[in-house]
Amino acid sequence: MIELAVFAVVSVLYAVLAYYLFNSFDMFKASITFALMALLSSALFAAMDQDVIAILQLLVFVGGISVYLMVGVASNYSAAKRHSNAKMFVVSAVLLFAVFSALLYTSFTVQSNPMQFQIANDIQASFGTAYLQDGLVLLVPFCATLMVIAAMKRVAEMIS
Amino acid sequence: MIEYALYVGLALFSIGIAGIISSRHFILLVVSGEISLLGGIVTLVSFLQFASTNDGSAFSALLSIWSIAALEVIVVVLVYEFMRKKVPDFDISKLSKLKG
Repeated sequence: MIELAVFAVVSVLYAVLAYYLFNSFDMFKASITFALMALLSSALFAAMDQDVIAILQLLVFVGGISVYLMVGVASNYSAAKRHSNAKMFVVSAVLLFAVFSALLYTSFTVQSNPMQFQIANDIQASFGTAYLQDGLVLLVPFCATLMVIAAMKRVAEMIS
Repeated sequence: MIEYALYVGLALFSIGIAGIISSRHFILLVVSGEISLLGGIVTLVSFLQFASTNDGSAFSALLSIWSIAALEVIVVVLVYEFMRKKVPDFDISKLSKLKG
C-alpha cells in the first residue's frame, strides 16, 4: 500500500511538472522543470532500492544534461510566447497513456504457461511457436499505436 | 511493485510523445525526447529489479540510453546556437530558413 502511495505521488508530481513545463513561456524555467523531473526519477530509483542507478541518474541527467541544457538556453535567453498547445498536450498524453496501459494490462492478463520453460529443450521449442504468435499478436497494437501517433500529429498540424 | 513502475514509465513515455506532438519550440522538443528516454529508463530499471539479474546487460543498456541522451542534448544545443543567428523565434516550422 505504501509503494502504491509512493508511485501515485510520483506520478502526480510528474504530471504537474510536465504540465508546467509545456505551458511555460520561459525556456529557462522549462529546463529547470525538466531537471526537477530528472531529480524526481532519481528519488524514484532510490525508493526502488536501486541506489547506484539513482546516483548515476543524478549525475548524468541532473548534473550533466539538465545543467548543459540550462546553460545552453540561458546563453540565448528569450521568453516571448508559449510554444505548446496545452489542450493538445493533455489530450494526447492521456490518450497515449490509455493506449499503452491497455497494451500493458493485456500483456499482464495473457501470460505464457511457465511450465513450458522448466526444461531447457522446451525453451528452444517454445521460441518457434509461442514467441512467434506473441510477436505477431503484439505487432498489431504496435502498428495501431504508430498510426494513432501519426494521426494525432496530422490533427495537430491541421489545428495549428 | 513492477506494475506500478511500469505504469510510471509508460506515463513518462506518453508525456514525452505528447510533448513532441504538441510543441513547436526547439528546446521543448528536445526535452520531450529526454522525458521519453526517462520513461524508458524507469521501465528498464523496473525490469532490472524484477529479474534481479547481475550479468550487466541491463546496466549496459542503461549506459547506452544515458549516452544517447547526453549526445542528443549536446548536438541539439549546438544546433540551437546556430539557429539563434538565423531564426529569432526558434519555431521548428521555420527550419527551412537554415538552408544555404
